[in-house]
Amino acid sequence: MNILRHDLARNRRTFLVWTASIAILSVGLLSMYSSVAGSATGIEQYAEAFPETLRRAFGLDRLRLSDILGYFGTEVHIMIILFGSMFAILLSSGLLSREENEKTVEFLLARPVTRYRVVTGKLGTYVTYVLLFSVVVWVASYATILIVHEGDFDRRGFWNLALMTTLVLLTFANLGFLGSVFVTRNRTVYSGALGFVLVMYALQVAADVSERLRFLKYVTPMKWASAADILTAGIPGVYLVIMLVVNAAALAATYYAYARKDILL
Amino acid sequence: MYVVETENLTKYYGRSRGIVDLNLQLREGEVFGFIGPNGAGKTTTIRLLLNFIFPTRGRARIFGMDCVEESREIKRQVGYLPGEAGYYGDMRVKDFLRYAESFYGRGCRQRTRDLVEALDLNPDARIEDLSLGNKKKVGIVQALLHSPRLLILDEPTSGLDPLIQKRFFDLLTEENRRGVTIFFSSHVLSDVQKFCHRVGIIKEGRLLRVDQIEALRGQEFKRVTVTLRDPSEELSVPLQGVRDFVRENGTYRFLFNGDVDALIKELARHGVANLYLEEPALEEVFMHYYEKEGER
Repeated sequence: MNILRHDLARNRRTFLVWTASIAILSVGLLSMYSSVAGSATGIEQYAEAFPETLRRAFGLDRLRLSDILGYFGTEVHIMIILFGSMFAILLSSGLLSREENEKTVEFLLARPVTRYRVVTGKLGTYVTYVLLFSVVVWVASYATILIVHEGDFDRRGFWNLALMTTLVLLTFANLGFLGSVFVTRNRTVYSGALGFVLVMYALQVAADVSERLRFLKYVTPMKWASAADILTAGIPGVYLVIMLVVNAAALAATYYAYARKDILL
Repeated sequence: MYVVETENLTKYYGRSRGIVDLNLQLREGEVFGFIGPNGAGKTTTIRLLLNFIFPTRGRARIFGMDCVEESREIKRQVGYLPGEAGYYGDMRVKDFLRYAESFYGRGCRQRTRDLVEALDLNPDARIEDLSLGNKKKVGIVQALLHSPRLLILDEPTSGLDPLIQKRFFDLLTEENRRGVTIFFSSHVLSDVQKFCHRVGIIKEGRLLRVDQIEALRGQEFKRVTVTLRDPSEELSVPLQGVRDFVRENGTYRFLFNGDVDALIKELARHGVANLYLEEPALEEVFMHYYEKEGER
């Protein structure tokens, strides 16, 4: 518990800045919906003018910009999942590696704690903050929709998307955490983590636009919380299974590797 | 039972050598100096004892407990002062020490307060704003606050000014008097000579020998450098205890462990432009130490 409390305190500012930024971004973009909806036919025609591949990349082949969730799914959700994943992976990959970079790991491991307890404390830290991030961002988005949109919308679809997006953020966090056991140099960790998120996003776009690359949907976590998929077809069970396996494997590998690792400074 | 005991303890980092077949025994209540040049394997040994790294082969025990299997139990009774410490720079001293205390489920509060006071440390200062000496003090407090029975110190005096060094040694002596065993790693010969009961010498990953400190004391070499005023003059020093006598551009260098008074009087017969009497590098002393062993 003391490691968890310590790391929560040390990362509080990072958490607050990211969460506030993304929540404000989402609320701001949603507030612009009424002006978009006002010119509904115009915006749809504008969207139809896009090439087919671009429409697919943005999910415009299945979602309509003039619909509140269509607007949210194509314009806002991408920000939440992209920046949220970056936040999650930067947070998780810094927890163990920073102890080594700042040489504080010698202090930590000279205490009467097992390596497992160290990993658990760090895990608790990023899970807590990623969940809090999601709660704040999605509740703020939901409240904004209630204000700017009159009439009903697919509430269940919205929360399905919230759930899957949160799970994707946790997946990125777990993968970054695992990576940081092996790559510990500060700059390498952070650029590697950001690069990983962006490559995964690129793979998602590739899976959306190209028939031949469709199989990539099983590879990139981004696709597992695709707004167009979930808002039109609900939560695909296969992604849940893949996610469960990937996360369980990543965590097991993290505990295993960290407990056996030579800590070299 | 030994406080620290290693059996053929060996560590390779890939193919590069850490330590090889190290056999060490520390007795309860002693101050054991662990000395050797940089890169000899001192820090590797300490990291194995604390299980920061895993042995390639062999084993180590502290208080009879295995350093890999029972590391957590061991650490309740061990205090460690790292050579180059990192202590969460953005924290205040008192918050950091409270965090350190939180790992030991019993009251260390009073003890911490006493140590902070004894070392004259400002508890409200941010650690990153502290001078090197004050950072070291923070390190000393975190190593001692849980009243360990074994202290492991890695190059503890590096970067300390003489005043703090003295206070530091006083504190350690006091701990030792209360029965705390001390493992003192250093590459500074004089520190070890001043403070330790026994000394182990490590070189290139191997323990060369373990000696009572008195045995080393007889080897108190000084590095002598003399420049004569008249470069054409020849200097010879016909005294006991002169080794490695060389001349470079009118400057003479040698190691000396004989009578200093006799040396000064001998040199006084010449016009001396410059004279240094210094502590020799450890390597230089060792070289002679072992040559002498070989002659016997």
